[in-house]
Amino acid sequence: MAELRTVLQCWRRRPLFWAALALVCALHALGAAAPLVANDAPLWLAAPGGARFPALEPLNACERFVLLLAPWILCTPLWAASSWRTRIGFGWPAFALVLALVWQLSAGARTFVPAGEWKRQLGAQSALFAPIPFGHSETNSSEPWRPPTWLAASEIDEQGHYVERNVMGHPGGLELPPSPVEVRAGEPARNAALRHPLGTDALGRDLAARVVWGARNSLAVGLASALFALVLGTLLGSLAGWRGARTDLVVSRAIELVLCFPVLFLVLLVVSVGSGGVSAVWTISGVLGLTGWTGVARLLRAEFLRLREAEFVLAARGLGFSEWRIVLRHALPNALAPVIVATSFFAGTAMLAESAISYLGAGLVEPEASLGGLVRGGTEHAWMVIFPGAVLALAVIAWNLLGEELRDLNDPRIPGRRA
Amino acid sequence: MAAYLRRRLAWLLPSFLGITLVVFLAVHLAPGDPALRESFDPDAGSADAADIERFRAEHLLDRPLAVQYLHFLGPFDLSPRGHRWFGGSGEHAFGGLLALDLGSEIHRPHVRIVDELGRRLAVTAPLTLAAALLAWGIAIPLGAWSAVRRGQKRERALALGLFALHSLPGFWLALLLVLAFGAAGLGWLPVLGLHSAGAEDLGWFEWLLDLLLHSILPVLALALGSLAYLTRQVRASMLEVLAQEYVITARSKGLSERVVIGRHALRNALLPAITLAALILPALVGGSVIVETIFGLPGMGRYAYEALLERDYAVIQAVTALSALVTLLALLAADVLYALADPRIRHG
Repeated sequence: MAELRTVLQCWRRRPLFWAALALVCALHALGAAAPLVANDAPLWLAAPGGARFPALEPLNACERFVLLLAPWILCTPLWAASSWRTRIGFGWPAFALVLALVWQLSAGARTFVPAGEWKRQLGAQSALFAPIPFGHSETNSSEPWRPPTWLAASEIDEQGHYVERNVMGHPGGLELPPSPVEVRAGEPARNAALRHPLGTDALGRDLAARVVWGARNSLAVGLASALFALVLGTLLGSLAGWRGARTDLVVSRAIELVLCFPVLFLVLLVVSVGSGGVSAVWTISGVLGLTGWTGVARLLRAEFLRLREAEFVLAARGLGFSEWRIVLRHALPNALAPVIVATSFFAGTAMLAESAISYLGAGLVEPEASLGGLVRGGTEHAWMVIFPGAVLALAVIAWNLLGEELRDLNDPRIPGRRA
Repeated sequence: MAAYLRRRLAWLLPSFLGITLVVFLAVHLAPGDPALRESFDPDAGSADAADIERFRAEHLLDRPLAVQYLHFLGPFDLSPRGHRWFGGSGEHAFGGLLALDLGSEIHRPHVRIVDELGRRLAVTAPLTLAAALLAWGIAIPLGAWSAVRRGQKRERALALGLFALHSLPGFWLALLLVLAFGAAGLGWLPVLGLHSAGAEDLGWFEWLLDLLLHSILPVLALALGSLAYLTRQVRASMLEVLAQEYVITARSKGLSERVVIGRHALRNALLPAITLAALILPALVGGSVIVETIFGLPGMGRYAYEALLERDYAVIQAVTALSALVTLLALLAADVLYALADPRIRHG
């Protein structure tokens, strides 16, 4: 109880910061848990030979690890605001539990079942489905371009066909699907208000499921490219600031050069080429990181130029500490605050860049979903534009808000700045 | 100042060459080949090997990368039709960047890249300029207002709105505009291209009206993209100025608030903003792929993107060289303007 009071106090002191952190964490937890949130394979199945977990079967060890991490990501605002004792007391055993579970889970062979196949062959077996019982690439030819089902525009007539109305930008004029709406095992009834809460695309794929999986990819790009830029910028910036002289000159010129690059163009160039087996998520993150490290590097360089002459660094040197120790233990922790702010902003910027690339059709390839690519899938259908774009906007707003709040936390001119 | 300028100018050329070299390498090391597309025979379903060889030889694609880069740089044309010194026929002795000859498109040899660039710029530049004027025209008064009314309820609401606008994806805003005002929504404005079908037959006034109607949404979409950022910049710089002692002096002299804000504060606050204005130049020639794609405009951004998809090396290199040059010049102009506006930098 006392612990909870500490957490609440902490939140009350800077509500916006914690709200931003909670939003970022919630979105990333959703992305990490996407296989459990939106899936055509059942989460649990009473098979003859014992229970099976079909949703987990196609995942590799890394994806399972991320999946199990989702609750911890979700709880970050809770543990980050609690005391050190709680963090260590609960944190490490819990983390060890996750690792043990991943070890256990990754033992089984990975199986690949075509999208929608589980539902067709389920029969009378009892199964538990995800909240959104549709896969990200599961097509249903009997309901293309279906508007959100809670709208009157998406009614089903007596024959089981859905009635098309010219609403929300729907151009109409499409022929009715040849057969009644096909309902597979585990899905809501064909005229349920929440059958497709965000509508479907040209192939009858559920937009809600695709938004969840698209958010997973887009958030991964944002986070990965921000981390990549952070590492690269920290390395080069601290090297330039600490070594000075010729190293500084080279790095500074490199920064100027990279700043002049047509970034979007370069990313398009590299991504449109394909990546030879590596997921496009990593290619895009790599290129965005390679062009985005300059912000972090410039900040760190300036900080290190200042810190190099600082008295506590001179004192550490006087004590005979090694150069590595001075940099890692004394200088870097004191220079990191503005860098973390810049990284948070860059994550949002990277998400915007990735979505622009995917919107142009050069990013992730179908059937992989990305928030920008989803919008591209149906620009004349309002629901295809509004919902993925809104999720993307929410994520970018969360990252930017987190950055702003972190900056205020570090600003000595603003009173009451302890989180 | 002269030494500063000289140092900056000396760095210009290596930066320019560096950027063109990186783009050159990225384009050429990437898989895909314009020759395949050019000599692809749709009836046979494959490309003729002899055709590919001829095409590659003609465009130097079979030569080492260094030769290709030197050919691109000029001033000598190294192709079979090029200068005699390099084993060419001497038909077309000089070419490349240094000879100010960008050549012609790979897939449409009759189209000279310079001409096409001119046509594309004629679309992109006016639109970007109009958008920049609109954005600045709103951002300056809005930024000044929110700096003066700092902390008030209405100002905080505006700041929140600008923050959200700053975070929204540009293509999403543009598409929402299309959905709202295009045929699918209110149907007030055309959303595709710059002219209606049959615009050539209209009188000049109707033609102009048609053009204006077509450019409202693209200009709005472009302006919205930079509006929030510019307003926040103006606000920040205005806040800094308002805390200066000369503003207090002006007030204590008994000047009216209008004169203090308009004459003393705003003019000084706009000095750093001028340097931001210089950075519009790259966008002016680069265009916006996204907005041009959404509204179907044949601008620079679209040109570069199409060239990228078709692996038209000549066009890609020409466009990036142009945009790199303009970017470098704009950065230089921004720094020089800043130094001119602020004596502390000029003499420091």
